Amino acid sequence: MKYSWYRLDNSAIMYQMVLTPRAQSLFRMGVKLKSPVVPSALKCAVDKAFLRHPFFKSELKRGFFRPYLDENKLPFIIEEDDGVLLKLLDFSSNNRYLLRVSYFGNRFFIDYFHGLCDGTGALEFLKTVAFYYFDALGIPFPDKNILTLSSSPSEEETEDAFTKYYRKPELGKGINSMAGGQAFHVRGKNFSSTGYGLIQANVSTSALLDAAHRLNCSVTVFLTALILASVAEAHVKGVPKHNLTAFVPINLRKRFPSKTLGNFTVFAKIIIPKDCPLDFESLVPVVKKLLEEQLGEREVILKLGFTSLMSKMPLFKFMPLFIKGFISRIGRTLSTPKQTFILSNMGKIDIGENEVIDEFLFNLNCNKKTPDNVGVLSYGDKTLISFTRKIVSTEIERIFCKKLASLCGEVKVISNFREECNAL
Amino acid sequence: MRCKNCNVEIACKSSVCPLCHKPLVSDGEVPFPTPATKKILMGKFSLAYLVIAVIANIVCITLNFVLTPKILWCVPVLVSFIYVYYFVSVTVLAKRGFHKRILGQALILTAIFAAIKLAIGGNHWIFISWLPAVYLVSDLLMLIFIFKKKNEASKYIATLLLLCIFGAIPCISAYVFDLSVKLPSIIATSVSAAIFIICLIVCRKTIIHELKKVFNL
Repeated sequence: MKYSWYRLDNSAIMYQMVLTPRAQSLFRMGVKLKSPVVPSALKCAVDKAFLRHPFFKSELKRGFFRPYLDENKLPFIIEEDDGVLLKLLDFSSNNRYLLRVSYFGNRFFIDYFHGLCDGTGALEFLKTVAFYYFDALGIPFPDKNILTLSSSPSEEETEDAFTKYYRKPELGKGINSMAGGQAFHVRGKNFSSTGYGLIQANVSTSALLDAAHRLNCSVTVFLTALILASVAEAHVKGVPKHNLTAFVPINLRKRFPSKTLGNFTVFAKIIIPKDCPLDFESLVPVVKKLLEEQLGEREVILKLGFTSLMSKMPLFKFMPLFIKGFISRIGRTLSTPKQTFILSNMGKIDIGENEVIDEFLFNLNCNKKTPDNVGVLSYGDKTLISFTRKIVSTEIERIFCKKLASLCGEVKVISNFREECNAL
Repeated sequence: MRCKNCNVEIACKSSVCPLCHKPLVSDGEVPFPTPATKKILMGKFSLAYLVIAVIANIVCITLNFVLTPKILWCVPVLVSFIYVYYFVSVTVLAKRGFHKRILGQALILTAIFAAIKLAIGGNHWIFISWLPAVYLVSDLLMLIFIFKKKNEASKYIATLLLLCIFGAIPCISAYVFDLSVKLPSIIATSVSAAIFIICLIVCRKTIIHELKKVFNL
């Protein structure tokens, strides 16, 4: 089947409408290999991955009512990483692609614009690139759970799953549930130039699971509670003025059968009551209970319904895009983020055993109001917890790693030392 | 290398702990490159041009008001400097589509002619011959460009529509200023409209496809 353009899903439209040359919602996924990256093989791999995933070989265009993805016929350029984490995409120099592929040493990275896909879609593309990278080098690599050219791209991979599973939300109760209140924000001196600080903690997956099971909770609950406790210890004095709030993306593919590579996630909002003790042991049961509530069927359907509202309500549906964009920008300027931080747990990556991939990498974007976000993923017996930060201070990370080491044994830490790179 | 203060293993090459910033000795790998410091400087052309333009215009304005205060000839000089800057930095050097450059040139020349007319007055020759010529040349360049890229013609149809709309300016000005010779203006406007209609007919399939995308049909 030949594709030439794709409708953007409802979640992606929001990302597009607030897209400016200085504000882009980006995230990074990458692979650390056991040998240095060969750029020519990587270029070849990306070109082959585009054949399997033509959805990613696209550029963003503005329609009259909605933006859309149009086939990009220009060549794709890979580049050596310059060390500026999640540097803004320069559409004039990258031939208007919505992703960037870069490499450094043993690692290669793909930075995605969130309007294109979510973490699950991004991971599928990354796995395909990794598969064809080793194929280009003649290294045998299993294709377990990897979309390769042995299967052709299907329409389901580019469907708007939000619209497919839309159910009309209850407006009154729903608005309260969706809006949320003012959240506590971490403050500190920001890096003056672009790029973020990165602290990556590496811990044994089995040790982490054991520690979580000892507290009768999941890894996501364990880590959310630990970060909340670290934020509280580092930045909260006495009773916080606003609630500490963690946003945890929920992959809706686990609830609604969909193969879409586009966005299909909503946020679970973990809002910690002000009177709750903010030590780790007290936070675990609270976070667990709140997350279970947020994962309830009614709540998930409500969130899904609200995300799809823009394409369902005639007022929004037939409003010209420039007016929608104007309203969104005003809304974004006047409102403040409702979260203290975002924790995105990609879960365990299962691509079978191999001798060539050391670890997978996952970094989230952040901004001045939400200056410290966390991406988590596991591969083999390694779990990587990546803190991306806009502020110079590493106090939250320090407290987190120290506590994690006391609960799970050895923790290995690496940093990009942004604070030492003329960024202050 | 281990940081005793944080109780974690530091797995990258560093002289300090990335968490507490206390000194340590490490022989690990360098996982991330060090970003180069970039200083954003104004382009040499822009800077030199700005200095020359400011000096030249101050001299011209002074001479104009001292020697011939009744005729504001310094306005065309000022406008010319702006035009040259636009021509070099936007039309020649900027990485934008050829169709946008054509439209941009037509519009800025229209603005310059209007400024000259307002400043000096009476010189109808600009509107009789120059303005229609600008739109005729723009239309023909656009036509060549579109037929050269016939398969992607639909992408340029919006620009062509704008050129067709602005192509009415010579005709409107001919009647507003009650020009003695109206024929060139009428020809320029007619050619703009004709080219737009020809492109619509020739590229109708790709245009319909493009409209489907734009309106999400």
